[in-house]
Amino acid sequence: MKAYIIICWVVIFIGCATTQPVLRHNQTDTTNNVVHKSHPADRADFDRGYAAYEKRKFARAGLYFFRYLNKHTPDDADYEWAQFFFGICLKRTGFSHASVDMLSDLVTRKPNPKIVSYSLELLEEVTRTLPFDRDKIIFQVLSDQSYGFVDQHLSDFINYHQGVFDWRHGFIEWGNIHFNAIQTGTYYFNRYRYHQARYHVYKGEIQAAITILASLLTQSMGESALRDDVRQTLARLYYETGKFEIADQLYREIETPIIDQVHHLLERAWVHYRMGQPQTAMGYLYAFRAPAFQNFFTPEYYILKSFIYKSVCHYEKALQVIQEFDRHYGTALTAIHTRADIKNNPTLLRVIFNQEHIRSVWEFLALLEKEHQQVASIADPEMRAYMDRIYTLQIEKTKSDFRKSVQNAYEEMADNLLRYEEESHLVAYEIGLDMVQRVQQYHYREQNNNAASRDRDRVIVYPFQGEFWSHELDDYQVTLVDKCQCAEEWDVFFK
Amino acid sequence: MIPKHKIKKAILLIAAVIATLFLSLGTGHCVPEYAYDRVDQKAEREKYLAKLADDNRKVDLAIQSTKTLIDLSKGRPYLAELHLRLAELTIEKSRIVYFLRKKQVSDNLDALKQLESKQLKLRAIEIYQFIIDDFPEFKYRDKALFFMAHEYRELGMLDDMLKNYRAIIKQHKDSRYVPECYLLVADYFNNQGDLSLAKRHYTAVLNYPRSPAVTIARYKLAWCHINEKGFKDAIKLFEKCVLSQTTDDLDIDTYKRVDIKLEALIDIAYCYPESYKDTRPEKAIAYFKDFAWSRAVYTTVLEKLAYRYYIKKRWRHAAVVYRELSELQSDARKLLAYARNTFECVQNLGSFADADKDMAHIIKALKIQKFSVHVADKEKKQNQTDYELYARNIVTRLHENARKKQSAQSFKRAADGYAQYLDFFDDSPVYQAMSVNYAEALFSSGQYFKAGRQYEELAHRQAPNAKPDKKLLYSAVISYYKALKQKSELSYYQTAYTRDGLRTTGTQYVSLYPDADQVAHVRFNVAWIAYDEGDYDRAISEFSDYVRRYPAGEATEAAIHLTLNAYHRKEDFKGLVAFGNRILQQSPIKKKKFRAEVAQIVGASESKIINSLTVAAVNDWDQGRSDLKAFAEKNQQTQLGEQALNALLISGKERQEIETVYTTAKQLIEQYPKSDKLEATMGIMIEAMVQIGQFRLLADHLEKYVHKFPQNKNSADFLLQAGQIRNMLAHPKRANKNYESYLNSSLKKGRSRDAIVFSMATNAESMGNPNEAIQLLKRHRKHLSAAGKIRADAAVADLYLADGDAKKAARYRKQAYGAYSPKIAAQDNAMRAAVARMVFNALDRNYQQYMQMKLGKKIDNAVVQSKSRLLKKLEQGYHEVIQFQSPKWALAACHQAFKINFEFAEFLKNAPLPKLSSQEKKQYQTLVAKKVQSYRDKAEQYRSACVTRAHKWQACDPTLAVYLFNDSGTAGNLKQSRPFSTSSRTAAIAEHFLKVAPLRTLHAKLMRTPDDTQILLMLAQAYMDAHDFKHAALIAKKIIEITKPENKKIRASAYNLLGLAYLFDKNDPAAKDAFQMALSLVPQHTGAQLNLAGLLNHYGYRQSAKHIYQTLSQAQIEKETDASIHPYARKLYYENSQLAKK
Repeated sequence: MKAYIIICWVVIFIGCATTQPVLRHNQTDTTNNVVHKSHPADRADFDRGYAAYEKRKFARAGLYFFRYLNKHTPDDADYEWAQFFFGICLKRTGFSHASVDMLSDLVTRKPNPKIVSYSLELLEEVTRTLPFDRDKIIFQVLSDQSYGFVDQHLSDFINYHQGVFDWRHGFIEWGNIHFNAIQTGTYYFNRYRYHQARYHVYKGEIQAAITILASLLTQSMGESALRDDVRQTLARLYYETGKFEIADQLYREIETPIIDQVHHLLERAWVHYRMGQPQTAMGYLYAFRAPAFQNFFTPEYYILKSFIYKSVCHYEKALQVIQEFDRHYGTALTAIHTRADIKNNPTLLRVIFNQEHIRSVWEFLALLEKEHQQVASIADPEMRAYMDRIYTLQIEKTKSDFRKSVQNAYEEMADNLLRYEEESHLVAYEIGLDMVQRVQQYHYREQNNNAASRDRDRVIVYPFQGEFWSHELDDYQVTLVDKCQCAEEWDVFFK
Repeated sequence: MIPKHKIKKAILLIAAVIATLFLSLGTGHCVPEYAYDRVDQKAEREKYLAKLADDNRKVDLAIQSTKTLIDLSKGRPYLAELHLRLAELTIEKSRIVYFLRKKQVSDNLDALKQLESKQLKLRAIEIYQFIIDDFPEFKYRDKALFFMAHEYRELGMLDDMLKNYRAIIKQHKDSRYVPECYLLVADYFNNQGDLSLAKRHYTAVLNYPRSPAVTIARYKLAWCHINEKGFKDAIKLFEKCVLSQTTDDLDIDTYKRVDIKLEALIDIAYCYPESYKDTRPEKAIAYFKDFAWSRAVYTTVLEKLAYRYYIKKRWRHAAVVYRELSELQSDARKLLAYARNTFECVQNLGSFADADKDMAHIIKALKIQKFSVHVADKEKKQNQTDYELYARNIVTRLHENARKKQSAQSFKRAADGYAQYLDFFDDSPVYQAMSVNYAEALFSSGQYFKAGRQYEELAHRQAPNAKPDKKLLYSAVISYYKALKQKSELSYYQTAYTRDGLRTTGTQYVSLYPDADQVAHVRFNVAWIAYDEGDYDRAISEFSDYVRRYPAGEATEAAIHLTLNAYHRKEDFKGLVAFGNRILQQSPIKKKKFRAEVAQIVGASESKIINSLTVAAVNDWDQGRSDLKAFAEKNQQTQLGEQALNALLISGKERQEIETVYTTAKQLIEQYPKSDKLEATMGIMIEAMVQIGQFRLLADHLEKYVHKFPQNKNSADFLLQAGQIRNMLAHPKRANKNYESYLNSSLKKGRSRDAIVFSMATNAESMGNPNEAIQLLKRHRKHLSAAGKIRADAAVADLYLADGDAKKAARYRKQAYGAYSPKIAAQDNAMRAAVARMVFNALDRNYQQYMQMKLGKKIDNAVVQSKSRLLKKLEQGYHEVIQFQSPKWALAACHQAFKINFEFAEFLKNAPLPKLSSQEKKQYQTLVAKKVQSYRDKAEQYRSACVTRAHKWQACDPTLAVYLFNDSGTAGNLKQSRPFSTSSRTAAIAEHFLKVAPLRTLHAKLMRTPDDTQILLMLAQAYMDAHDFKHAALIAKKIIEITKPENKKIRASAYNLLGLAYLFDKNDPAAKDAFQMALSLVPQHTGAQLNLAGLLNHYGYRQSAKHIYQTLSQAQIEKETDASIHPYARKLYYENSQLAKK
């Protein structure tokens, strides 16, 4: 996986040159002013296409529709239908992006309501199930148009995205009108409520956000991913408000397989650390070291780990964590300091590629590449060229966006890493300070405590055996002897 | 059991069913969810015609049945209503016929084809008119009139229409049709261009606020105002329209399909620029945002507004609104249209304040097109070409304006514009030039990080192996440098990037263009970056190189300072000092201030070197001490060396390590006599010597200190202490020198001088310098106490006498006598002793004369008388001496009295016999013998008194022994008794104490616990073992001094040791006193008992000794340490005990 990512990355950065194919479809040559007039004989392609479509021979149907479209203009009565069926055929034959491209173009030209409804239905499905071009569907199709004649489900879909667009542009009341039009209890209503909660968080109205999210959890949402998002956001808010137990409970309730919720581990570790349970927190951090999670490693891991060690006065280990940080990120830091090319910083790239927004673009790009490869299997040269053009253009755009996103993410990550580097120095300093203070406290402490009972108290949990199965994670703790009550070798220096 | 072939068949059957199922799926039995909704226009048309024909049939039937009903309803009250129904059906038929004809002739309808329809309408009008004429009481007359008017309007019979509407208004004032009539009449006048009448009628509608016509009337009235340029009034009316609650109750078809609210809002946009000419566009936008009820409405109305502004050439306003629109839209074609208009606005305005936004909008549109397969390549290309020019024009104009204004903000906008331009138009023909412009704009706007990045990229944007452009490379260097100067504005990443950028570009520049004018600056900056990022080694190397290359460079001073700072940051003070000294020695920079600064830094750093060594020594003393020593050794006779020694001394003192303190302080004092730390060092040395009880060295260093710092407030005390130590160590000359200096010091405290002066005199005397003693006493006489003066006079008299100057002696003697009084003498033993001695010695001449006075062969009465007189005189004199109660002189006087009487007895005994008869001779001899015996008895009494007194005093002074042990009773040739100790080996251990292991160990301990009396006792003993008895005595005295009276055991042991030291030093009287003191404190002190007993035994006080021996047991003595008992005393004890056993 790692190697694959890097290779792809190199490919992305090295070259995007593709040949420009001849494209006839939809090119309105105003100079020659060639207008394709409909003629009954020309409908043969449409009819053949539709017949194949009815027989679910989508590839063949697609080719006929393509031919029909190539011979006709939008003025023809069935042009829109042809475009619509062509779009469906593309989707059914595994060209989801080409389908989206086709249907998006169709919808914005406001064909007959039935086609609009059908197309929106398909687009709605794509937005929920596949990586897609957000610019096209969300901005050009949904936010830029008015659709007043669709069924309730599609209306919810449109209102949700238009509401979000309005809110993002500061048109709160208009956004509310859209949101209020969404049917209660539906998928988009829940998403709207989730979005509303996040908007409250943005405005600093934490309690309002908590109320909404908590009420969402009491409802049947159907969509477990959203439910988990709600749980996670709510857990974060409870963490921020100091209600660590509730936060922890919510993290426990997240249903996403453990392997996919690695980012929660760090958050849960923070929760337990703040709850005064450094051992459990450390347990999560240990789990974080599993090979499967390596790509999610963040500098914060080291900072928290050193905090935990510090909290139980394992100063040497706390300092070792700082050194561990230096070892782990040493090469990455050197690459940053020497302005090495991004591709020469695999440590950061791995982490960047797992950032949600980057990953979504990356997944879309992967989908485009995969579908683009399928284009070669299209027998008809014209259609192949046309399809190739669609994918070439989109890949070029997405790669460009991806490069910029990765570059920005890299700079942000590098900045964070450098900041963490400085913080790690500060932590090291604080550890030193703590050591001195603790030794002072220790030496002034009353000596009449029973040493044996003290020793017994210091062992917080029993040793962990070394395995970490996902189902054990919640109870996974690490033995951390609380050394704050005993002198260590280095204490000699402070006596 | 089922046969196998049956199972096989069953499986085949199931497989066949499944296959059939799959096949049916694949062959269209499962139809896709989205089906084609085929539209056949011909069929649709025919379908529609059929429907119309059907409707026509139905309406005919309805008309027919209505007519039948009318015929059957003559005179009925509802007859009018049936006629009204008939009219409505006729109108309906007219409509159907119209559409039927229209569809039949393919939508082109001529007048002839419309005839039937019109005829039907006229027939309807007739029916309405019939109703009005024949049914005056009909309650729906207004309706009939209204509908009739409507048909007149449809037929273009406007006068009739007007007549009917007016009739309703006039005759049916309460009719619900009145407001609509007013509205339609107003419309008529409006169409006629009679605005006045139109307005009047529209206004009349407003009197019916509940009417659905009101909104339309307002809207129309607003337009009347518009036509009369009353935009403000129009806007008010439009606003009301927008805010009104619209209904669909209006009976007028014309208005039913109109979204009057939206129309009103759009028309406000038309009026707004006219009405609010001075209003800012932002306010206008806000205004429309308030009135809009959705984003779609908002964008629609803004489009109108923008266009209105645009055609009114309100460029700024139009541009602002277009920008707002561009933010909200994603339609590429619209965006490009907005962009085009915006560009025109901007060009006309000549201001490019928002060029960055405009650029963004252009690129947003072009980008959508560029990656769309639905836009023709040619269109794309054309748009890109056109808009590249727009974009280029915008941004270059903006850049130009920024240059004119020299405004950072403008440059920033230009830079933002360039960034967007370059990001999109990557195949622009002027890409390189625009890239350079971008870099310049970034630089001018103060965005140095980005500028550096851009310049660096540009510099390398050459052919693969080409040399990077010199100017661009230099610009990159400068940009990065400036970026780092504003580091607070950079993120961590940017800081790291900029540092490496500066280093890389700078290094390249220097290497590629070594002769360029700016090379020196670049070198400096490259060095500086190393400094800035904390790579001090590199900074030092590069700055040093800079200083070497450009010794008189513009930035050389800065480079030197930064190098010094780099060393300082590294805490490499050694390196700093070396560099600083090199600069001071070699640098051509002669500025005094600069050189002073460097020197000061170097000086301060030297201290820090030592500090670091000292700190290291704290952590690892042995290593640190060696390092400091080695460092001092290496840097001998330098300030560094001195500081190292000083640090070592301080550390040694801190660690209370005497060896380090002593050797280091000694080294410091010897090697750095001019050090400003000399006084403190000597102070430490003195303090250390006091602490460890090394009095010989203490005296040395006290003297040295005073020599160096005579004016120090402690000097007088130090002199006195040194004098006293010297005195006790039997260094009379040095003691006197110290005393003398003390007495001459102006800093001495007000204590009595008597003791000092007499010590000095004694010392001078002991050194065989009586004259010096005389001079001393005479010189200081006036400062002495009354008793002191007497004592001094006595001493001087004595000294003169000894010197043979009887005259002067007599004078001082007389002076002493004159001043002497028992009262004064009672408190001063020394004075009494001095006077006694004076008197005693003054008798010596007579004594000698007396002792030499002999008879010849015959008796000479004169001689006898003279001798007899002298005897009397001497005896009186010795009596006088005894009166002064000075033990020694009393014993001496007593002894002399014995001697003179014994002499006189011998003188009488040996006197020649006179010429007498034998009888007479016998009588004479008997008589003389009696006389002789009486003198002998007298002599014996003196001797006995002397011995008795000596026994009483138990004087243990060998110099007094002559008075005690002369058993022969003869005068002269008396043997001097030997002192208790016979050993003559003594030592004076000063700095050798470090070489004697026990001494070194004990002194080291004392350094840490100076008042530890046990260690002091051991030390005193150790010094005795080393034969430095005087020093041992001093230590013992110290113990006595510092030990509290209640700690009798320690004090007793100290006294015993002191006694022992005296014994070994042959000062038996003092030893006896010490032992006695010890026993007075602890009577059972075995050592003191044994020592005292031995001493008494030695001096013949055997009873006393025996008495002590009897109190001691063998066990006690064996238990006692050897150290506390003098060997000879132990021996005497054993001898005595053996005798006792016999």
